[in-house]
Amino acid sequence: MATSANKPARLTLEQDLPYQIRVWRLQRIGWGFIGVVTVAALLGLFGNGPAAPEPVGTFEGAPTAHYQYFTRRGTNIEIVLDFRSGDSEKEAETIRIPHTLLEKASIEDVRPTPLREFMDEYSYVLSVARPESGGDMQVRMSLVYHNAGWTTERLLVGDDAVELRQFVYP
Amino acid sequence: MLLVLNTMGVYLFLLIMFRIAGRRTMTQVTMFDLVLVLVISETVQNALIGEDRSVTGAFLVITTLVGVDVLFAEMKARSDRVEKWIDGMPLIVVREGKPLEELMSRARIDLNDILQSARISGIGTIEEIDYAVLETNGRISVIPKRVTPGEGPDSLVISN
Repeated sequence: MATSANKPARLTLEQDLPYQIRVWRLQRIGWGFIGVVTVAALLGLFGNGPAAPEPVGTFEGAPTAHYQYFTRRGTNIEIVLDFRSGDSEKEAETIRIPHTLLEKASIEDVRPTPLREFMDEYSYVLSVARPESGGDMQVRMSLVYHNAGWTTERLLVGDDAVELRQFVYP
Repeated sequence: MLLVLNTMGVYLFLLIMFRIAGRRTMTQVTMFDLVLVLVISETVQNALIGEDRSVTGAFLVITTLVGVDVLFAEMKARSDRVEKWIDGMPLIVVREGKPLEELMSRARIDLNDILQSARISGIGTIEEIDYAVLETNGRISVIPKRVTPGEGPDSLVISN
């Protein structure tokens, strides 16, 4: 109630100044939070940025997989599988994508176009031709996650396994 | 289920973001603020419905938004504390004719904002203002000083 000692009340108002000061203080913290989130987003902490951690999932001597650790639901991400020329003398490489991954994500694109693809009991199987020159080979898969959260999956590439560990933001 | 959770999340996020952004007076709303609101609504729409173009999806989003809004309104009606934290409280920025500079600065308003609201109420100078209050909806209410007979400005004296 705003009143003056000598005058009758001209204004009936509930004002809580300590509360207001607390709100202003929290607002300043909130502004700091907005700044931190913006910088983190620019750096790639929410995916697709220069400083986004890009793990390499592989075992010694096996093909390597490059992908971003952080991604967002509904956003296209790319998984790159690198095969060195000495890895195999085979004409084609087989990639097995487990059904558990297909339940969380859809595969939008695979390059180069697989020679053959089919579903077996446990996985979606792609057969991708090796280059005729026998050099290094790269397979690029484009994925879109439909579920948020931590995800760990194993792709079987030939006789090797490549582990995908990602965090998907809602 | 995800649609409902997303909608609730977006509602809460917007509530927090607008509280963090702070109250702005209605006189400070610019054309750019309107553009900002349009851009935010477009972004929120994508986040809420995404690829779901179904009528059921739209019904669910609307139902959830209205439901959460009603819930908060009910909580505010039942608890002063909740109302205080969601809507904020009015703030006196001019007391008995004296502008409270520090509070005005923290509330990001200046004398021009107060005078602009005062002019709408037919008050031309700061001397004529008794109280000015920054309301929770961003408007500035101005209460003029009582003019005792013979004390008012000459312009108000009407003689035949």
